[in-house]
Amino acid sequence: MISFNQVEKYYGDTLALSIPQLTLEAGIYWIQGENGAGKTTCLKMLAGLLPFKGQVLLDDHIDSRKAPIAYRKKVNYAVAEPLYPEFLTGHELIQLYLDTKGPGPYAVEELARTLGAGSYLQTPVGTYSSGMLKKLSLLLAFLGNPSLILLDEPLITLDVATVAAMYGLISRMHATGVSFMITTHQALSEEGLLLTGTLQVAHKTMVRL
Amino acid sequence: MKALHSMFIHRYYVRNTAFFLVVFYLLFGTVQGGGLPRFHYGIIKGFLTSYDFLLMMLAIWGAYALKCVSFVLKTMALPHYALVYETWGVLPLARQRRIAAWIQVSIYAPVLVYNGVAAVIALREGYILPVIITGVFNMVVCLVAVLLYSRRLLHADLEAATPRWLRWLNGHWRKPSWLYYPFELVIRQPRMVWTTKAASFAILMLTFHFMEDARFDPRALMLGVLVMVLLHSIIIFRYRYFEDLYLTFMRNLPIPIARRYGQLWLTYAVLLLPEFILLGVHTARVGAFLDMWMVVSYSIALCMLLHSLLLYPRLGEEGYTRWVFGIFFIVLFMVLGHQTLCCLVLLLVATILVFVRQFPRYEPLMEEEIKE
Repeated sequence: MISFNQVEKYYGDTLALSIPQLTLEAGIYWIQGENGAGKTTCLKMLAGLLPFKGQVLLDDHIDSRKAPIAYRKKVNYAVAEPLYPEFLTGHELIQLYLDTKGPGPYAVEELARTLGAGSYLQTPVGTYSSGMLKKLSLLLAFLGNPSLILLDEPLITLDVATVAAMYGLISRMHATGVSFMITTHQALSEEGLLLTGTLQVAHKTMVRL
Repeated sequence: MKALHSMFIHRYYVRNTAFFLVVFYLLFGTVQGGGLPRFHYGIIKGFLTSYDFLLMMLAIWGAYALKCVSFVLKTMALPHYALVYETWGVLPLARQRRIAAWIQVSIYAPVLVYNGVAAVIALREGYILPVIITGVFNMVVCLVAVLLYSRRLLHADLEAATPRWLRWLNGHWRKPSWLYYPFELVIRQPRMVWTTKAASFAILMLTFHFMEDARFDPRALMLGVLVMVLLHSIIIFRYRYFEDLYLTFMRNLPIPIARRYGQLWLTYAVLLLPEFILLGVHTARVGAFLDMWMVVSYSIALCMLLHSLLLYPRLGEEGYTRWVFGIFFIVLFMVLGHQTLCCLVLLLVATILVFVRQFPRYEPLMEEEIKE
């Protein structure tokens, strides 16, 4: 599904993350690591938000640097603490994602209903609580036809019902071939998700446990 | 109560420091020390003896009252000030209103103090009716404000932070991504955008004024336009922060770089549209349509170049300012040397090269760095 080849990320002259070689088959992965270990950096690199050295290949042939458009079409990302321009409505952001990522197998209304976000999408995001913003960012990450969805701390600020709904969505999408990389400090396996593997980010590298 | 003081009263005076400086200068700085009491005595006597003047005074005070009320209501509508509903909003009604009155009187104090001085003079000199009118007016203003604040406390509405026109627009139109920054400027940073536009218009009007007396020289026009872009350099600089803070998700979207470039071009065309209209009106008078086209291309290309330079890692304000002035002088000398077209081509090539090269390499600033 995804392979890292001589990947290095520097902040200035300081090495933040180095992944010499790592290949992951399709599945659901839990990324573990202490605060500041580099989990978010890793996800941002994978999402195409941060430049890095080396090669990341998706589905064996889509190079994140050589084919950034095709790559970004296939990789969705939900940040830990989402921020959007306050004057935009949830609907406008959804439309922007649909225009660029393309339509997916799930209708927006269905996703919104599942995540409990249907009632407020027509209002500007400046009026949303952190939980509402989180639901919107998750909804955006489930749009289009991704091969890989990166979820950075998806559980924070979500209510119990939404967490259960999100697990259901992840399982359904995984059954159709979508992979997930999830960072969280809670034990994912105990929450009803069938994990393919666990990744550990520590000592400036990421390895499979 | 200290927290409410910080949220409303202290914040009001801090945010309006420039406004009060201007008002203070107009009322106390324009007249020499000795003549100051007589100057104010004249004003007070003016509105105590003339009902036209009194009406004008009440209109000014009314406008100031609107400013105060609007500030408090907007603050109460901000999501991060929602705690007022759980604190101030749960107090008994009488106490709620006492706090509302205290806030209103504190921020409306400049008018009340002036009215107090006027009342002393009026009572001494026997102008009873005008002083009753001003007294009742200010009392009604404060009472209405207190009622409005209490009503908002009872009926919290965080959506009120969004202007009505924007709420209407949201229901009828979807904003394209190249309008995000102009919207951000108008809604969240109106002071910066209106100040820039006022200075920019002043420069252009001054340029037209000087050109009226001489033969039309496109180089003079170009100089005015260069200064106009220079004035926009802060807005361009702030664009990077806006992108880094709110639009990082856009980098994850599969948008080709040519389209991103085109969208940026449109953003700057919209930002400079008011100036282009003004320029169009004046250049059309002398039939200089080709020059107008050049001026439009120049302005946008210059903005694009400054924007693209900000894609270089860690280009801070100081480095950016150096680049802005460097480019300003290079363009200035090329324009003065009749190398206008060559300069435009160079600008366009430089913009495209820098943007295409740097966009994929750009590393957004962290949220903490932006807030610093």
